[in-house]
Amino acid sequence: MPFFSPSIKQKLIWIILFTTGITLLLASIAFVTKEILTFRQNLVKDLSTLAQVVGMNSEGALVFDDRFTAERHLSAFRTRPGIVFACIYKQNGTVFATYSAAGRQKSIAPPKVQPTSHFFDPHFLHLFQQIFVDREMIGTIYIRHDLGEMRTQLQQYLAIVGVIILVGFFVALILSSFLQRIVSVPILNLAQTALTISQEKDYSVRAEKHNRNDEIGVLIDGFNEMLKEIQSQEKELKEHREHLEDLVVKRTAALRKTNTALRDAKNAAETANRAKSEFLANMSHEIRTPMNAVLGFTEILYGMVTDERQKNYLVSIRTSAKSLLTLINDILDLSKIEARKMELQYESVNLRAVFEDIEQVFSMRIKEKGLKLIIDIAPDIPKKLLLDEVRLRQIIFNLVGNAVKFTEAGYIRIAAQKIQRPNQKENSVDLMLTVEDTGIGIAQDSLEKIFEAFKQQDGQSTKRYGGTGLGLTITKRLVEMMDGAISVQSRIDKGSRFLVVLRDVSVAEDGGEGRGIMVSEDEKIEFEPATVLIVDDIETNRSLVKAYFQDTPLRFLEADNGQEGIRKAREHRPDLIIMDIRMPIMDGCDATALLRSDDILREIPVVALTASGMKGDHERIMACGFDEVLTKPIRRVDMIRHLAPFLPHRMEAIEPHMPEKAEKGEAPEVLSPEVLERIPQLIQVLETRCAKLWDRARQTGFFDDIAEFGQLMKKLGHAYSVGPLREFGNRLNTQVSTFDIEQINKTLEAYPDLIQEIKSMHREHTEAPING
Amino acid sequence: MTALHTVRFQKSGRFLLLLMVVLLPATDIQAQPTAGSEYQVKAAFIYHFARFTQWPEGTLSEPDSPLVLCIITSDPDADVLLSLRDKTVRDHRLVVRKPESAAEVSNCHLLYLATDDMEVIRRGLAFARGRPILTVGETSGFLQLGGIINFFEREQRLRFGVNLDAAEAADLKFSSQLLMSAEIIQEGP
Repeated sequence: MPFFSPSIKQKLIWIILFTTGITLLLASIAFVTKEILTFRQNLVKDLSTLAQVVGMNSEGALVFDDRFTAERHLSAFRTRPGIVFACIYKQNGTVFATYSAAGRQKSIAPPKVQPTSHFFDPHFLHLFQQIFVDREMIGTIYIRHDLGEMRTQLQQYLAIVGVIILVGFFVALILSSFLQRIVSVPILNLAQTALTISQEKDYSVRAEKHNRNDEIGVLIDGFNEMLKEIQSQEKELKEHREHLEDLVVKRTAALRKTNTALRDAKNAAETANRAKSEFLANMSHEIRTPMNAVLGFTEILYGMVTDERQKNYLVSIRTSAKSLLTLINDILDLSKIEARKMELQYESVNLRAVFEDIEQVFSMRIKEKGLKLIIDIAPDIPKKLLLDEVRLRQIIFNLVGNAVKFTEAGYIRIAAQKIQRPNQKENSVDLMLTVEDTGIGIAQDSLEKIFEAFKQQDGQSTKRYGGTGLGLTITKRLVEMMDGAISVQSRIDKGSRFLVVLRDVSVAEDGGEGRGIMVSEDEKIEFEPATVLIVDDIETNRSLVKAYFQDTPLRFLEADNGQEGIRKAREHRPDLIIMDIRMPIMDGCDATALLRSDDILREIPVVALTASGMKGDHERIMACGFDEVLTKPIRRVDMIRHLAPFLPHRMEAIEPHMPEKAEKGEAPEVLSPEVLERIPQLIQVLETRCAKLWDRARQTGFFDDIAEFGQLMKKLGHAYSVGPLREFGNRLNTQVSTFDIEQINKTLEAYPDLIQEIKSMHREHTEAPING
Repeated sequence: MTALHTVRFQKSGRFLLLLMVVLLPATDIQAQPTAGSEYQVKAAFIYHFARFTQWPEGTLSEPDSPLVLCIITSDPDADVLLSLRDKTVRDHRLVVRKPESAAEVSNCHLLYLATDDMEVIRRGLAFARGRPILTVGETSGFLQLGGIINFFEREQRLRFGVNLDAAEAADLKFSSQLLMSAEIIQEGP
């Protein structure tokens, strides 16, 4: 309890003492007052009686004017020592007889006569009593009584009252000290209990009641009731919480169960779907096999029939069979994808070659329709990318096929771009392939649906445009298999643009053939791994330099000002620094000067790359300590030529050979001595094992067999670095994917020629050194 | 006294009564020491004598029977006693008379012999003897002659003496109030 606030105990004692004191005081005052009044009353009554008696006795004395007798009567007052003076007045108010107590001065002057009455002054009671005889007032008697006795008595009373109050106070103090506990103790207990509860948060504690039924009992009951309530609520809350946890556990379990069930169901569904797809795939295969025979024999028959009408029938059969085959093939592909039977086979692919092959395939129809086909490959696209070529061809083929089908006028554009992306993995690029047309377009609300199986664009006339409606579905699946995404933009009657984005397409390691850079008709520079630091504040400039060297094993570092350049130079010790002149923070000249003054870095060659073409500038720049100054703009070959002296490299002279390849931008076929060594082995394989496959493919006419053969050719072409062999395989694959039976047959027939070509190639190379 | 005289007296008495009604309470005692008012004082005394006296049984037995006060005097000043007329003593109306004959005296309850003529006194007392008549005189030796109350003067104040034997003989009893202020004379054992 805080000491400055009186405790309930103290308050109770004070209240009791105060009450007791006031009561005692009031009672005493009442008592004393009553006593005084009674005393006075009695005194008055006594004296009045006495006066009447004396008056009556003095009647005769009065009427007979007998003063002596009167005074004798008055002397009876001697028995009352309080009476200090008395006198009798005659009827007319004159003093008739007087009396004075013994020892008193005689000289007390009688007051003026008054009717029967009395009054008190501080010292005396004055009493007048008239004397009547037969209703006639014959005189008045006056008595003066001393109040000293009363004062004494009053003092005694006051003393007693004082003692009583003191004693009463003391007794009240003792009693209240004991009795206050009746009230204060349970309250203090209650307070203590409440404190304990609030400190310990233990709501199971109860305040003790001790059989109380008063208000404090009610209070304690209420308090306990409240505690009970809190406790039960707390318990409820706790239970609820636990219940909640249980509930969560239960729900989680239920959820897990449901999830498992769902997964099982999904697996079952997928298995079922796969089974269906497998069935479809097998069915398709089974259907396709006889279809090949139908087509093949139709072809043979066509050559034998001369009748025009019969020839027309055969054309119809062929067209229908081809349509059927296309449909079956699409279904097969889709089924394979869904049955997860399709596996991607990554190999080095040249996009341009793929695009050009497709152009070849559609060239007839494009020409017929009077369309224009534009191939647009960004220069920074690596020449060799690791992709599944067959599937990539299929994707482009489908998209271009659609474009050709739905375009009556205008152009079709096939483009490839690199997407710039931060955190791009090394040796990989993001590709965006675009197939754009100026055809009939697709309605906005159909854009989503066109990738769904068996859904062609609403209102699209199947009769007019044909197709299975599976092309785009397969395309989408294939793109997704390659971890890519396909989207479409279109406007009715304006055209459509399909975008295929393939992420993280690895750049293929050049198998020696693509490593060198042609700097002239017959000169090739092949860089060896080295580090080049490009210091330029403009990012495009740095990118351009990198693009110029993109097929080299050179590693590039970048810095956007001189200071940063020096820091990186110190950190990485590059083999060459290409330095811009105008840069913020520190320009190229200052940076180069600093480099030249550094003991360690001074040996690093620094080449300036400046936009300034003034002759004076050139000299001034050279004065900064550059090893070489190049002026922008600069051609790739020029840059390579000028930088080569500062980097480890190999320069090769090339004999003019296979110019058509050079025209196509591909690395020229170079048969290295190692390759030449292995060619006889290749020829043997081609003539034995491959010949068997070739034979079977020709015999059965099964596309699967033909495709298998084509793939093998392509692989061998890569493995032995024999271009014509690769070409042959690619051609066959493309033809298979378009079911171009005629071309397939032609290509297959050309197989022996191919072997001959390789043989002669080998011969030429092996003989050449001997010849000179 | 002639009838005419009486009438005149009566007239003047009525006047005096009026005076007394007006003046008596105030002037009664003040006039006392003066010679002219001697009878006034005596009249008051005589009235109170009647009040403090108890007549024997049979006398004044009727409640309305008057108390007859007889005056024998030659002094015209004594006429002031007539003013006591119509006063009451214990419900008995006072009647004041001047008896002319002995027969008249026998009806008196109080006989005031306001004279110093010893002969008159002796005849009056003789006539009253044996009767319950309170005799009042104002001459020294009156009590010795057998009178019951006698006025006298002491220190210029009117006092009176009582002959208790004579009173006893007349079968009269006095209140102590009277006796306390009286000078008591007892003649024999």
